[in-house]
Amino acid sequence: MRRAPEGRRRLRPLLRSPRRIVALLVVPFAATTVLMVHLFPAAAENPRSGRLEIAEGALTAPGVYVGGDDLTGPASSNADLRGHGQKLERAASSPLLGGDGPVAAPSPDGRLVAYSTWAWTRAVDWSKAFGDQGIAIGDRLGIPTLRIHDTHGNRDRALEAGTFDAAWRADGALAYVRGDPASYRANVPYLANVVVRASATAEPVAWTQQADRYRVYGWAGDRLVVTRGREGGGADAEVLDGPAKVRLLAGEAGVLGISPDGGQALVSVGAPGDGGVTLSLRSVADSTEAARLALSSVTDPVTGQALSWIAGPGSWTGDHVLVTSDAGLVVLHVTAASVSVEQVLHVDLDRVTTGSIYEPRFADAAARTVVWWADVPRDGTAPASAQFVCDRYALTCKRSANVAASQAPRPVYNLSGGGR
Amino acid sequence: MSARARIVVVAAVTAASFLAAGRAGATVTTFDFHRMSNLNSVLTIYRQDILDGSILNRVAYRAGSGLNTNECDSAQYDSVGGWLPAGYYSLWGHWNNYTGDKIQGRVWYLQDKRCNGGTGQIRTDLFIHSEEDMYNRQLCGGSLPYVERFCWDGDRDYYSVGCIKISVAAPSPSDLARLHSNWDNWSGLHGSFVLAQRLYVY
Repeated sequence: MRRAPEGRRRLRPLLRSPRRIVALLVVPFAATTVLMVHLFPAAAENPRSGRLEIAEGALTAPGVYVGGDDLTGPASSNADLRGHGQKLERAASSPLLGGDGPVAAPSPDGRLVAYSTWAWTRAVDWSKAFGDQGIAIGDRLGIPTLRIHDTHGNRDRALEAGTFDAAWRADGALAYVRGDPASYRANVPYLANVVVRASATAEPVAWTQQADRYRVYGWAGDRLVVTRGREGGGADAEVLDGPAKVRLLAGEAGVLGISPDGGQALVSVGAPGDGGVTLSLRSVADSTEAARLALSSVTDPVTGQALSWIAGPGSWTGDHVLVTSDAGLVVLHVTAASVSVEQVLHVDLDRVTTGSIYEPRFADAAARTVVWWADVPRDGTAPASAQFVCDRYALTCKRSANVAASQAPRPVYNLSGGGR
Repeated sequence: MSARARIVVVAAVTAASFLAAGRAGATVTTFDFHRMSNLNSVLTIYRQDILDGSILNRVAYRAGSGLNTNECDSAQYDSVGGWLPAGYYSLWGHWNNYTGDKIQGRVWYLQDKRCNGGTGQIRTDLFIHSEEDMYNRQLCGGSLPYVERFCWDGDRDYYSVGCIKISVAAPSPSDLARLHSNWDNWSGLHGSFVLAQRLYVY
């Protein structure tokens, strides 16, 4: 019997069988697919843009929340809050900041919570004119005070008067603003300095020398990202490299987020409404721009209209940044050198909220679960708020029952990035 | 002096005051702002009789406010603000040549207001204004520089960070010029002053 050459003999049976050819192609394809699904779950299930469908229902939002003087975290990593909530010494409140930033921020280990409180020094009926209540320009009306709550010992203490707006550094240093003077006075801009404590119990050190309309956004490693408000609205984003070392990060800009490694900050530059807003990714170290995206290129998937505005504070997890907009919510995909839109989540703001969304946060490491809150429309009833927990892949949300606006369940979070 | 005599004297003085005011044609100039949308709401200026509140004159203008309808959204830190909170306001000044950073020219200065029935954020830096520079000029290019916040170049300029904005666009006189003329003719007050309950927002 004549033998075929070795090479041909090995190949011939395979080439002769179409089934084997198909098998050869299918097996590696399937293996690759399985690998992709495990390594890149987002690639396997691309989140689509669209309208968030909202239904009422029982919900337990992952994370720690504060509503009035109740600190809760039944589904949080803080063991001291998982069993039952704790009562704060005072209600958390920050009427000078509103929903523009955290009313309470956890220390890096989660044990301490720095929270803002407020005491009125004079009763004010805000439905009436100041003049009808004998209130004149410059009258002292209230005073903010930052407090530190220890969730492990359930203890609580106050920092100096005139303080609010806290952000923790990775090593436990605490930055905040301190009013000069401490009181909020009718129609007088609340001017403050930025101060830093090396720890919650260390002495405060002023990082700015001239009181201004400062607000602490968060740490970016060793550096502090702040905003300096302008008369008439708007702000500049600045970086404090240390005490008395102020540097412009971006003019006429709102800070949307600080990257988890602390190296970059995402800002919204330009006047909203004029069609010229740009999202700009900047190096915190030298303010240079690494990437940009024109907001006019982003459209609402329901109305088809370009977005007018986008606002922070954003939630930055991995490569994803979650921010609010006139469409509802926007999920950005941000790398060290690029900014793009991954998803626009339309919310019927006029029907579901009083006009905008507050403090949206990713509530899991996969950046899939989103938690936010809003003041809700009222019809002659007392002001109320509600919390929303959403699955952005399924485009569905659960909405809590209404609570009094003063009890709104606000997330406890720290906007800082980077280690030290 | 007996108590009865005191009452008579007080009543006589009060009546004399009202009569004097009436002879002078005493009126009060007020505003109301009806929030309908960010770009298309209505600002109305009234001249009212101070004694019986009757309306003697009324002129309404298109006006805008905010970027969204959340009266608790302040633009202090991010340039994104909601429209003016509801309620009564004191008017604390009017200038023809105001020299603010972002707001200049003919302005009316409003009191601070805490939003959402007094439960939310305190809104500050509130004005009725337009987009012009401190000399009431349009900085729209040409022989002058182009400065967006001092150039009214379209309906999008009705957007504000929370204040009430009124057009200064042609034809002349603009809405701002007519509003200012109403104010000058009916009130005439300039500079800092304290007038309670001069604006109602709803």
